[in-house]
Amino acid sequence: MLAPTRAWYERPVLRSLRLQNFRSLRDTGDVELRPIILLVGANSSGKSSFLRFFPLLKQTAEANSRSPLLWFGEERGLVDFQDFENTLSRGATVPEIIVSGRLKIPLINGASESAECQFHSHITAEEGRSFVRRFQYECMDEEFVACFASNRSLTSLALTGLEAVIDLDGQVIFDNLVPDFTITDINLQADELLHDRISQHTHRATGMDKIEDIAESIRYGSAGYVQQTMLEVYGGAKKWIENVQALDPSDPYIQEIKRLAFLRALGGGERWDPMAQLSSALSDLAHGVRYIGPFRRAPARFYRQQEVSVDEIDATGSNLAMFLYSLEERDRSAFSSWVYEHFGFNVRAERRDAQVVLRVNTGTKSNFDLTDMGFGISQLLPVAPQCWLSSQRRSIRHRNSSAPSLLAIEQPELHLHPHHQFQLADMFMGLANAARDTQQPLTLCIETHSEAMIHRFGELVAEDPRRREDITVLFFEKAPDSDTSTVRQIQFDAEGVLQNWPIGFFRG
Amino acid sequence: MLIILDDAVLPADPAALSTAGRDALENLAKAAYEGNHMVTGSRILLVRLKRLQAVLGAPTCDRFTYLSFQVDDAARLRLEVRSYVRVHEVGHTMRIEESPAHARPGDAAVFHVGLEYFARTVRIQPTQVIGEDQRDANFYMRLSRAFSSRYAGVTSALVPTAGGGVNTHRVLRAQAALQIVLCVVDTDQDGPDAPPKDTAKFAIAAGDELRQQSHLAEVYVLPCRELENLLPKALVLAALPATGEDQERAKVERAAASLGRMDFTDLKAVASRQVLRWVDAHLDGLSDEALVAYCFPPDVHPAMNALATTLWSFGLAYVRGST
Repeated sequence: MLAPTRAWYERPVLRSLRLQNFRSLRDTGDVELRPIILLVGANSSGKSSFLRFFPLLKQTAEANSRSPLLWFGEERGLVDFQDFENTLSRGATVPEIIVSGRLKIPLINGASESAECQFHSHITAEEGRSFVRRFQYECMDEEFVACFASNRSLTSLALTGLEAVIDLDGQVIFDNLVPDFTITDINLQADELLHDRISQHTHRATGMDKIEDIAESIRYGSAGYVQQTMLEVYGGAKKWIENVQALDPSDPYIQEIKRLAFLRALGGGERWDPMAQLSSALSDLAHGVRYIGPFRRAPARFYRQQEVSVDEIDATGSNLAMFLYSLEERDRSAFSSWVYEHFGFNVRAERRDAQVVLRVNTGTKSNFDLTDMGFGISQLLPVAPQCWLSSQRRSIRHRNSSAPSLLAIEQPELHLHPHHQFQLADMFMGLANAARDTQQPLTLCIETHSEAMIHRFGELVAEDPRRREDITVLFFEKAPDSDTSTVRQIQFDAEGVLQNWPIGFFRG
Repeated sequence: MLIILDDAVLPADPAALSTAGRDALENLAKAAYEGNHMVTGSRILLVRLKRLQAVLGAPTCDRFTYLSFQVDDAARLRLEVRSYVRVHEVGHTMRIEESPAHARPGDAAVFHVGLEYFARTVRIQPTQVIGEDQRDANFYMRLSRAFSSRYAGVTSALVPTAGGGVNTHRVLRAQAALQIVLCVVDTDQDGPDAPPKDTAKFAIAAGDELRQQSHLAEVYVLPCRELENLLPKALVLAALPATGEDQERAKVERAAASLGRMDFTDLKAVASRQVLRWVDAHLDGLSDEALVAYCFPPDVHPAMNALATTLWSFGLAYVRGST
């Protein structure tokens, strides 16, 4: 995937995600990536499938794989979906897993415009290899559909409203879910079409050099902006300027020029590349995923000391001790204080002989080994550093503090007393508030069976109704007599009450 | 019954809460916890109440903590019930907001009362359902319980009370002075345009008076001749002995293709009284599940649905210890 290069505020950020035919999820609908997404439902209703899409994205990006999705990772794999066939919904009417999303992207044009875009990547498989068969993209009024063969050659490309036929030649590079058309000559074909259309409104005697100048000045953007760039030509194009000035931005001619500018951008012919933007958004999200699975490693009395730096906690928390030990002293203290503030105990990694021990203090004069404390604390601990990292405004270890973060956590409440579950909800809300205040893209995707946590989120919304915008509850439900699940989005109202909550869900 | 506490029940300074107000809050918390009624309020109010140990005491605060977990369920149930109570600050004048149409979710008759209404412990006892006799009252209680089985974690806590035919209004007056009462009466009408007979007429008059006297009383008049007219044909036929009663079976079949649509026919006149005795015996042996299957089929008679929803609304309560 493309490495993120621009500052975060210029970054295109994925706003929503939709999965179709993914495990038991026939269609999740468009799920907005709000700061807190709570996944709720009975066992085997599809919550984990949805949540694990994020670590799936991460393991795909980190493995530098060209496959649309790396269904299982080898040594550093986070999740195991086995393969395409195993991941495809049983009974799917079309053998395609569809990953869709919406994002807002900067157009990088003279008007600093931005646009709402949407993509749909249709994954299928032949002879055990998965590939993107169809890719659909919408940006402002432009929409194109590209189809591919299993060897990634482009078999068709249709841009809505464009009557001209694009010659398709050769293969397309894929950045996982996103095709990259810049190695094709689509931009040159778009230029030729632009020259042809421009010559329809210039003087008969206008030379090709001038027509190329005009084409060069045109930039993609809103219709008004495209028209403005059509006029940015100096000398020798009087008739062209008169003709263009006489048109309304909604005129079909302006729309066609805009469409061709988009096609040219698709082929890499403009500073703005829509596919690179999308790729960047997905890559940022994938690299920003941190995942805590449903099983956490039991605490050990000693951990072998390793002279390695640990960037983040793994999915089971097995490297927790090494993570804490490898922090600089300033960060160790900061983490310890942060944990104390939220949960009423602190934890430190200390060296004892050639080993590392985790010592816990609950505010008394005595410190205890983690193994001598209640199990709940050890199960909570892997969650805490991941959240703490997200709460930091400065870079810690190799993490870029301005990059989007997505914490995917399965059952953070494991083994915790309801009081601590309340504290967890408070801590998650605190993270979301801080991220909102600093405009840092952060999503906490939390699978939970905790009535206490959901209840507490309701109380927090009641205290400050603005918070309702930060939380979405996804309710997963197995369809009767079927292997598929439905997903319903539930919102808190201003009084912190869940709308259309299934009566008695927590009562059985 | 669903009892919704308005934020105003608790003054900004909780120390200003009157003794009657404090007693009422304690009673309501206990009523909900014991499964007599469903008590709820806004999250903000319940957070305040559960932290008010100095005023209400720890047991009451614990009960409000329990109630605070039910807010989402209660909010959803409010859209389903046909009647509920809204409790205002001490001194609020009682009034009733009628909503007879029940055309949209949330349409309900609302009894607005001041908090002090619940200061007496008798007021938080389960709603009494008064039928014309014990048999009818028992059936209403069972019908309500069966209806509530569609919702997890809630039940119907109606207590059945015999009215006594034409004297039903007297029992209604006596009980309504003490607690929440729902009285269900037959019309005994001979046809849709005929005037209701005395039992219904007296009960309606009593209900109107009681409401004017600020009592939580409702009179529900069946939209048919009598309760038997609402019983589904399948249930009546199933009550007949399996063999040897072909004549009675034929009478019932003949009387109506569907008893559910025999709204103003005197069942006793078309079939023998023995049929009704068999029906009674059959009902006694029916499980709630079987009652649901008989009374709430997909094409449930609208009158049966309306009756059951009303009964359930008055009996609505948490299953005790469900959290």
